[in-house]
Amino acid sequence: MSVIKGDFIDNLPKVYGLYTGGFVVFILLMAILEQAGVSADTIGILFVAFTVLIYAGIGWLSRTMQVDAYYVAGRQVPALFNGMATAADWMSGASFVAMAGGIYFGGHGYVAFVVGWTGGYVLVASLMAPYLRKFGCYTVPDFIGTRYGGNLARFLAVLVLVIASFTYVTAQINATGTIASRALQIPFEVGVWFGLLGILLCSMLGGMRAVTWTQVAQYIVLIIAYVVPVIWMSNKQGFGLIPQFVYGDAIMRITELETLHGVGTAPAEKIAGLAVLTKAHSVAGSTFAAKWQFATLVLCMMAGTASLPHILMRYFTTPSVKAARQSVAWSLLFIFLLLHRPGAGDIYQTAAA
Amino acid sequence: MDQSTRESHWAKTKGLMITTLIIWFIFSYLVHWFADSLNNVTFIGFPLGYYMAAQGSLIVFVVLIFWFARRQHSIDVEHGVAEDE
Repeated sequence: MSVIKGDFIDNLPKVYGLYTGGFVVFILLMAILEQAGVSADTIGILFVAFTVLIYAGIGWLSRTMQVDAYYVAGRQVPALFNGMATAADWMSGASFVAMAGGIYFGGHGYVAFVVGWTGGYVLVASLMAPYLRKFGCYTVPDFIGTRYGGNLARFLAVLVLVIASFTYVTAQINATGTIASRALQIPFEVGVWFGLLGILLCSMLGGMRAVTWTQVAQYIVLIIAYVVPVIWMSNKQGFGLIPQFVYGDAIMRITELETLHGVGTAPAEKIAGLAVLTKAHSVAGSTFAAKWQFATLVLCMMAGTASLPHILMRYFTTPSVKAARQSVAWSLLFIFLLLHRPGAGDIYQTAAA
Repeated sequence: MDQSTRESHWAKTKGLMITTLIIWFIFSYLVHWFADSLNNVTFIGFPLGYYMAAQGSLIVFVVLIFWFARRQHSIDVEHGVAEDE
């Protein structure tokens, strides 16, 4: 395996290029099947099965017993690919299930989440990742214990990590169950177990090595899955093929429609959930309360992003401190490619309505 | 590495860090505080305040981190602490 390892790292673009090609072929195959009359449900199941199989395969190929490889992928992951993996890791439950709809309904105020999530990476790059990587530890509590000395610091770090991670995992598994039950037409509870099984397959045998290489593959799937529908939709609505910069017109159209339909006037009585229908989309609040709300939400998201233990750990896998910094930059770029278009999809739907 | 090199390295690193954080602060908080006024300006079809939150700040962050990584690396090289790759 170690011989292949050396060649593997050198051949990364080729390997993942082949993988991307294979995935595109698969998509075309699904398109053919759809034309042939295969039901959408079946195609959905095929997609899930195919991708999970690939990830499990990569997980199997990356199996290892070496401590270095299991915990930090042998510190051999180049900055760019590490960035892809981190982006795929970070773009998880909320991005799939909540973000697009949230922005659509919440308007400007909700976009504070996006500003916060991305700005947090600036903190990671300048304050956290390089120093963590330099220390050469395996985990964040490891770093805290070594840096600050004593078992109390280490114990507290572990405590915080467990609480943060447990909260995070709960939300993720919830999202996994929701998505699996939708995609596979199975009950939520079964979806949860299915998701857990998939995760186990991908990560148990190979640890961080398996996780990293699997997630590079996942990022490729993610970016195609996010980008193609939005381009397609934007094209259908007559906004052309590069929606990102053009969706300003869609926003304007929404504003027009909103005025037409009287959206933006406060409701006579407060009914829960009604706010989404009465708030204008791109209007930014002028009250101190609204501004404060935006700023504190941003702060909260940034502090959170910058301290996510499983994200900080992703920079341990790079070959050097310089690579760690670059990797943060690549992570944010790859996240940006996915994140700056979520509202776009829904906006096109509204503008068309 | 002797003391003066170490001090110089840290001084420059700190300076870069503070510069980065100032830019970060402007585009994380300052710009968005005035989003309502900015919304009166149109930028490539978007109300500017909304645009800054949805894309503008994000682009700044990406560029900022790439620039930061590059600058920090040259500081490291200058003081002889860059790793050999």
